[in-house]
Amino acid sequence: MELILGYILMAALGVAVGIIFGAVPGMTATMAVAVFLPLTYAFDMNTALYLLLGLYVGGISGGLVSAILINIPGTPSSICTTFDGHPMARRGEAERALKIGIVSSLMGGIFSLVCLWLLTPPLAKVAIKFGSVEKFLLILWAMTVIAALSKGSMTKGIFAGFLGVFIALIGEFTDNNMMRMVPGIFRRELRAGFQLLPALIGLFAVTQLFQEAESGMKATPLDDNVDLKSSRKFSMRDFKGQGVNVIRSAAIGTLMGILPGVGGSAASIMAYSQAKSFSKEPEKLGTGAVEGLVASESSNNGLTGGALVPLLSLGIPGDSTTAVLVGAFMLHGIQVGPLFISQNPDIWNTILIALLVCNLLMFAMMFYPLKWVAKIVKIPKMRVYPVVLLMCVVGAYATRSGVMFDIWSMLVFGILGYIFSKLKIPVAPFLIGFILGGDLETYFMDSLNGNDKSLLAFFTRPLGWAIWALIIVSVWYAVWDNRKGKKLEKAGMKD
Amino acid sequence: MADLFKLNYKYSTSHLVVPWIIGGIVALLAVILLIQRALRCKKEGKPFINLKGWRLFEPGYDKLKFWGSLALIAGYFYCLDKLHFLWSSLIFIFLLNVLYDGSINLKALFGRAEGPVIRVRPLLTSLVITVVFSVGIWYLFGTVFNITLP
Repeated sequence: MELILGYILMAALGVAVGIIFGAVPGMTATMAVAVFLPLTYAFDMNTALYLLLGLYVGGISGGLVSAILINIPGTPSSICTTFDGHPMARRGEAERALKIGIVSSLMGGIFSLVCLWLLTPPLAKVAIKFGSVEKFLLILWAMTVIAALSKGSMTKGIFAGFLGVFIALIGEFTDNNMMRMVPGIFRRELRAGFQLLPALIGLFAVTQLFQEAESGMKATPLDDNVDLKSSRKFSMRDFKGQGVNVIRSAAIGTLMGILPGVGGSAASIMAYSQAKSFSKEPEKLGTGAVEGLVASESSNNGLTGGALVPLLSLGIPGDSTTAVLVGAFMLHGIQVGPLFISQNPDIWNTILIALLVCNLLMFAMMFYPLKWVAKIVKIPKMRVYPVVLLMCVVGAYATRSGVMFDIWSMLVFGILGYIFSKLKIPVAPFLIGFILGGDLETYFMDSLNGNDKSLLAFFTRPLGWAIWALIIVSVWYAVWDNRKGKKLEKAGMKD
Repeated sequence: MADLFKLNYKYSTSHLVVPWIIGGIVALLAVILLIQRALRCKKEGKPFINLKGWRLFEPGYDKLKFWGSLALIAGYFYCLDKLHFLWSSLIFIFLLNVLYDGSINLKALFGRAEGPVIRVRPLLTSLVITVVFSVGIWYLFGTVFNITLP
């Protein structure tokens, strides 16, 4: 009983902190998970999962608060929530909009949990049959998917992905114990390459700190026209006729989560555009329609379970936050991939239960104390970031129990992420490339060594052919989508 | 024919196979990105390299807070190794707080602007936040959870 209470308390802590990170513009769910990873050193894997999944669910859901109240998405995944949520708030329906968003988030989260439960075990069963060739091709497919879905920046997306792989190769090659790409003075520190945790914290927390410092750590501008007290009340009747919209949007969110490297913003935009296409009154979307709000919020929470499907069945993170979760599994010496469920049935069950508990807690902690939740947007960022930096230091230093180099590498990755943001190079593909880089090399070399060093090894197995088909489809889609985008751009310029 | 698809590498140099391939792909993609930019510039009639008017930072960015953050973070990390985690944190987290809330007006301090040099209330808030969180995190992680701290 004490253990269960402990888990629930951990989940509640995670959800509460996640909601704060989600609701304060500029801070994200990924940042919350990255910053709180060091806390998990002190706990067993199950307890850590309750905390981290709480941060994930709370972080994704919290974004709706600032999106609705001040028209600034708290996290990128709630970008479409601003389209209808804020107009509703301005016309005196702030409470109604917030509660519709919270209920939609819950429904999206539960839908994705069911998908996670149903899809992961069969996918893992197929993946168990994979040899080095298929595993290599699978990572290659993940890289092409990143390219296919990097809207408007296909080349930059794939460039970032391969740059991540390249940086992951720095250090010792375990087959022949030879070092590569390591300056002499860092031979000891970089023997095992750059550590994942400092890289994660640097890319998602330190980068954000620099961006906020650049814009002066200004207080979030509040909207005086929004008043929670006198706003129209919420009723479950608001969901009348929204059943199909909820399921369609949650399914889009889950599917986008399953595809590697796709974030919540893409899921939200796609679900919103689909809701508009299927709407009987599409002209009303964007003016404060319940339909648009429901689509955005059920899709971004639909992402949470979806992004865990490829992570737990194939070892490939579905989005940047699940990429951070890889760090947590690594800290506890657990390998994610096809054997994860069969080797760790307890942890698999914990993930399912924890995700359910976190979704329910998210609902309870946002729906009822709404007046308090609305105040989160007033938290001054200038007071939060110095504390975040403290947590970053603890996390980076604890990675290898006391190597100062890891703290400096966190700063280097922070500066790198900042430069990426200036050059409009997406960080998520870089991170996924960085995480999968080591495996990509191992599987590539194993495939060659087992087949007389011949590249034909990648074309001889039927399962490999199936993955090649997927690669061809995603490359074709990438080219088609890029051309379509350019045509639309031209048409727009002519108009 | 099959030999065409064979990679020639020795065991002793096998660690360089993938870095060369991936490095080549990264270089190729970088060239493609440059070509794309060149084509776009040609179409729009803009020069390929236009340093005039180019800026890395947003117009009117907060120089003091940006460069101050970078300097304080670098100083903090340097001192972590020299001082204790707690002492370094108390000093630098306080300085970061002061930098962000503007409780010490540097312009007024050097006579370049009018107004009070120190605003007591935000300065006290900075002090309280620094002490509570630095000591709290040091105690929680270092003592309760037994996690190695600098």
